[in-house]
Amino acid sequence: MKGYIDILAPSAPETSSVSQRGEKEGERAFQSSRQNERRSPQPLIIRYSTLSGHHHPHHPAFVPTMSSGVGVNDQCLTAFQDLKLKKKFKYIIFNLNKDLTEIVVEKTSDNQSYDDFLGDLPETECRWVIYDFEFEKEGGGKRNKIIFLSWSPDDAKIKQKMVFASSRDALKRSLTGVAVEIQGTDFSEVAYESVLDKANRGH
Amino acid sequence: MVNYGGDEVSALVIDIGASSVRAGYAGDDCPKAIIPTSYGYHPAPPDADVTMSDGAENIDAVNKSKFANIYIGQSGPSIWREGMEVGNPMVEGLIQDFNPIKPLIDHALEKTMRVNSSEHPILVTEPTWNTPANRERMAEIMFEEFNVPAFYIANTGVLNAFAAGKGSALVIDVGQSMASVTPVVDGFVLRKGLSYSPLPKLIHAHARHILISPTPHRRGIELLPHQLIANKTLVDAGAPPKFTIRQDRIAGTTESWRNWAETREIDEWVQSVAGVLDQGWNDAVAAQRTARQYEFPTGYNNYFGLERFQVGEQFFTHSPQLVASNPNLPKTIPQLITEALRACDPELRQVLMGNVVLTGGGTLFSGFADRLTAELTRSFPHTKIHAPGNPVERRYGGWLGGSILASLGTFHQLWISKEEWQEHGKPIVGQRCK
Repeated sequence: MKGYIDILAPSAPETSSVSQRGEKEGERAFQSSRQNERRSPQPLIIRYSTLSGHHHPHHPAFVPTMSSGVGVNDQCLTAFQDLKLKKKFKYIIFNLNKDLTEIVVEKTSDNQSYDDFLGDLPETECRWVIYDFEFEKEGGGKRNKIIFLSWSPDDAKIKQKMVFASSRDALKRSLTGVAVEIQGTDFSEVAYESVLDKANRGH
Repeated sequence: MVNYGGDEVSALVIDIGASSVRAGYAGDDCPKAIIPTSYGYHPAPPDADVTMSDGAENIDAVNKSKFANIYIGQSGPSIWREGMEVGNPMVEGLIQDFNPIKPLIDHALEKTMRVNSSEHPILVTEPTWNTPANRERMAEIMFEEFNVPAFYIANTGVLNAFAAGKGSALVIDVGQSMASVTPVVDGFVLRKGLSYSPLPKLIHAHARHILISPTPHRRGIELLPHQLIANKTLVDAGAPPKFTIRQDRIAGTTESWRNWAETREIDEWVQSVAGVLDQGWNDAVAAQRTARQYEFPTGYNNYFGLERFQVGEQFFTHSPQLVASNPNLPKTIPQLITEALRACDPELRQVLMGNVVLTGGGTLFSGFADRLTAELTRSFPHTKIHAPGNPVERRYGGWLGGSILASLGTFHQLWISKEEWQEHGKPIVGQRCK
């Protein structure tokens, strides 16, 4: 347990609240696998090929790694709070600025049509989206869940894909209250039904 | 461009694999220098004076203990030299012998790219199973011997996932000596899910066995390299080859060079002829596929049908006979994937299988991506495989990811500077490069 927490602290020196958040995320992401381990009488051991002798007990279970170092503009957090607390928007689209130094808000919208929203996703460029997703929980009435979508279409330029993928964590860490994360590379992965499916699967 | 010390200088990116060392400027879309990792050398005779012979690299005092001369690059091992041995610093994807590393990097940076390493920050890549001692040694070489102003070492699994636009992905990397499956989750390597095996070595051994063993239809094939052949005559397909051996070279040919040269012949055959069936092994389907003609340096040529698919099949299944006679076979690609997924919870498995990233020259093997898709969709209907069609992206995905990352102005926060190295020493590597 402790090993996980230690290494989950962000590599850049930051406030303690951030590292606590990082810790929670780590716990959530790996909770079920740890539960599995607890349930089984013996810990899960990955056996390396008998031909390769490089098993390193000193390595922690997983290791956080590099990020682009791109910053998050304050307006991102403001817009997010407006969506989350004041219900001012249905969705927010984030982009990188031209210099690739900062994540900025590209668009906010209160358009309720999911299809119109999909029209806002560029076919060959990356974006991030926060979407206030409303749905009928099977047998449980109306629910709202905040979706975090990383949109990285296959046809986007490799440089953009790389910068977006390595900056995503910075944005995600500054937005608390995201319930569902989606990695989208084509429109089928962000279709209403697949998002609904993912939203329904959660708690 | 990296803003370093007030001046804008381009960082350099070095990616060392078993087959080649890739080096180039951060921000470029392909490496400027791609040189073979295997090198030729004349071992240093004990207590003898070192004389420089034609084509040899300058070697520093540290290396003189091991090499009298070292031959690197396009005119390295591929040029026959009397008594020349061939070495390779990599064992199972990791640098095991650091002696040739400085000459190799020197050759890439100074000879090929003509850059002065002391003026550029350098990002080096490493596989997930690299050891802390190894990465610290690399940092030491960079700071102490190359005098770099800043250094970073980046994980190839994450670089490949990022280069495919994914924070979470299952990265399948098949190189010349190792095959690995690395789950990457939110930009983290899920270390307990890492699985790897020297499967490409088995593919190679299998191809060698197929070629040198006689069959009812043909003789065993001699894998003599062109450097040992004086002349050859055109012969019909399947006919015994007519060639003259360079007898003058036989006595001066070392076993390690001969091995290296034969390995190259086999690799060439594998790359031009071998393939894998896309829907699993089927004798009838394999027999129906067009046979391919291939000519060896001896002039021997033939059509290869069924057997060219037997080679690729080894990536996915081991025959029962092989399993019976070899208890320690390297894990197949499906076995590696199963093992990696076993360490992940079911929901994560779905995410990973929807984001499979293929990288490494080995995944360019003819039919590999199609067969993998067929294998995976059986268990995971929503499998989506990201396999860049651009061979540069596929072969050098790790380098390319490093190139983009190191070219970002914002990346400067992660570089380990020379001052930090001098102040903190080795521990800074593990702290900064997580």
